[in-house]
Amino acid sequence: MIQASFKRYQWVSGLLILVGLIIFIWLVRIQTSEGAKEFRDGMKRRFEIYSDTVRSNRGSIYDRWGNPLATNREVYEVGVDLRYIADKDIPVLVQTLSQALGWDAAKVKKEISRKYDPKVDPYGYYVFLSGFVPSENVAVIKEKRKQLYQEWEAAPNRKKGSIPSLFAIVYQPKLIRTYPEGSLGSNILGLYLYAQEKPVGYLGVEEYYNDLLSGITVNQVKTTNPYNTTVTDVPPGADLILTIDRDVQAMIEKVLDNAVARTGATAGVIVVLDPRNGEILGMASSGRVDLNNYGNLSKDAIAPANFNRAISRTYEPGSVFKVLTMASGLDSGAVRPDSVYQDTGRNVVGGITIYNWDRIGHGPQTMQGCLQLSLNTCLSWVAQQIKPTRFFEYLNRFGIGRPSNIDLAGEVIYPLSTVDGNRIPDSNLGTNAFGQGVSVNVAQMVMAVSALANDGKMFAPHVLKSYVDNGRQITPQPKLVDRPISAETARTITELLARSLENESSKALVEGYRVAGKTGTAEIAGPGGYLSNATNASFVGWGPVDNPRFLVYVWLEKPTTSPWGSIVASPVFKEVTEKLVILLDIPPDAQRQKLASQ
Amino acid sequence: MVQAYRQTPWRIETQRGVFILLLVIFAALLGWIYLRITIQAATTGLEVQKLDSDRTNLIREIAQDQAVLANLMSAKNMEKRALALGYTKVSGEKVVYMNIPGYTGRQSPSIAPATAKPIEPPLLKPVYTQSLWEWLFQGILKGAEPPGGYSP
Repeated sequence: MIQASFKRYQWVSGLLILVGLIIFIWLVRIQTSEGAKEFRDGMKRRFEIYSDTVRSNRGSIYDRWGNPLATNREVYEVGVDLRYIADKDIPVLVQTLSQALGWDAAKVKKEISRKYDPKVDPYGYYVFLSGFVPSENVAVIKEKRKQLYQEWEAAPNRKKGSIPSLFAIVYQPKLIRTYPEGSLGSNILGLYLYAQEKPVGYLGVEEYYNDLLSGITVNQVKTTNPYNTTVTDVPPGADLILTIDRDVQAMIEKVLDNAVARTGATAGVIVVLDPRNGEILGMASSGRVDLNNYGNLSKDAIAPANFNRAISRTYEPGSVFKVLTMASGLDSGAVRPDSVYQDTGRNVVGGITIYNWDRIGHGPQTMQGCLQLSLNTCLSWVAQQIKPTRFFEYLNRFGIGRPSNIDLAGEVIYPLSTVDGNRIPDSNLGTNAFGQGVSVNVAQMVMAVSALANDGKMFAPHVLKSYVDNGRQITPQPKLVDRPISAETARTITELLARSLENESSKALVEGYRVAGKTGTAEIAGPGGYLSNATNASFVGWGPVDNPRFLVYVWLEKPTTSPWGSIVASPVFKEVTEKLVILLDIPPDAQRQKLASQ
Repeated sequence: MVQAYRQTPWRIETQRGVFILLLVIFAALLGWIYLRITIQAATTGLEVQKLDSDRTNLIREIAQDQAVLANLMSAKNMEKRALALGYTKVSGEKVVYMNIPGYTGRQSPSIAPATAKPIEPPLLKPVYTQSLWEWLFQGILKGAEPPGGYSP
């Protein structure tokens, strides 16, 4: 009886051991099978650790009223995964991709028919097709994929395998720069070279404020393991609000293009500035480009020298420079408004004989007459009265020979010729007095002249009004660079210039508004001296005289219809000002004074 | 006497069995808690990953919408729309200026995001609303946390 029971126990134990062994062998088999290896590899990939570079989304750029000038838009990188392409998929792949990418069918077929050999290149299964496909084009792929999926769902099981698939198409979204206004203000904005491996701002605001706009870049080690999830919160780059007024910018660009075409000039610049704080309201330069199309722009079009002529080109400004000489003369006390100069038509300064533009003498002239007739001889005499050292001091305080430090990348300057770094050479004194032998860019000129329009206070010209960083809007204070002349001198010269324009019935006069200004016709230095057949025509003016709110600078290069600034540049100032006063809500003087008294 | 104080073998075996069973139950309980916490941590981790991905997508979608809007409101398009609606460009002579008391002119915009409203703290402290189970479970979870907490 006991023995029989023991035998039964032995059988049961043996059976259990056998079952245990089978389970063990089965487990070993599962662990070492191909499927288990694939599963392990899959899990490894699933939880793999990888390095990732996360960049802040680039900040947007707005005009002074919040209109976007540069922002970001969604595009897709599109490619195909050759591992998932079956023969039945090819026709629908070709059709869909050619529609989405705008390619012809043969080109798509060639790309997707490449052979993938994992032994040659294990990662060669991905074929890159295009890097910047607009989201509306990718919608074509999404729609077709959805349609095929619905067909697949509706099909009976035996027919499911015959339905083509777009599973092989891979699309990855990303943000790139877009400029909603196209070429408007392109010379100010600059470019963002997003197609480069290391994208970077190039020229203009995009380069100057690249660090602010681009935010931060974080290189991090990440894993898809859910137990070790890390979220990197990368704040976006700062948004910039510029001082530019979109409507003013559009207006001056239009006026400039018409003026260049009308006068036969090779190029031109118009700058509008608020002299009260140095804010640039608009800056138009010839050769603007469509920033959304930067991949197709010529090297010449985006060469720094051509991109924004207001800051990247220096030129001898001619008679517009006389306002600085006269302001220096009045401020230093070397001359007074009623000082009389006997004009004989020539004046010798530092051994150089200075002639008037018309080569004739105009007899006794007050300082207003000198400005009205734009007498080179008189202004060279004024410079002599100031003396070379003092004249250098004034030019230096006006910022001539130094960068204006405008907040745009690519400013070019030409140093002032000096002796011992503290005085104008005698040979240059006479010519510098009327804007020859001295080279400036337009930004330097508007900054210097703004002192005359703003009671002697000279603010740094700038395009940044405020910026939003980490959720806070920061508005930097305008930078007062210097007070080169007194408020009294500024008002005196403004009055002299306003009367000059009125007395000569200038083409720059604007009905209803009293403005001050000065024309300039400058000779252009060539290889063997000054060119005989080309000039630079300029005009600088500001108004309203009793409370200046704008300063307009016009420069036309080599006009062919007339070489004179008074003929070609003055009407441009008038046209700009007539439109500007409407855009800036400046009533005519009489109405303004009446409204102010109410 | 010895026999009187000695427990029967089946009683001793039963006690041992119960003790082993208790150990097994305790081990199973620990295993269950460990599994539950692990599952919750994994689920939360995946949820965080998904939310992060959703946020990235939303940021991109918002940027795209803003770009579309900016394009629709560009100077060229606005001028076209205004002309189509019958507006004409005004000349200097037609502009009428008037004094509007209190109007200080057009103001520059503020594009900084509105600050988030601070979350109101609950009126009752958690100690008055927590159940015994929540209190116990919270304690276990806290004990299971690595120093410095989970990330994130």
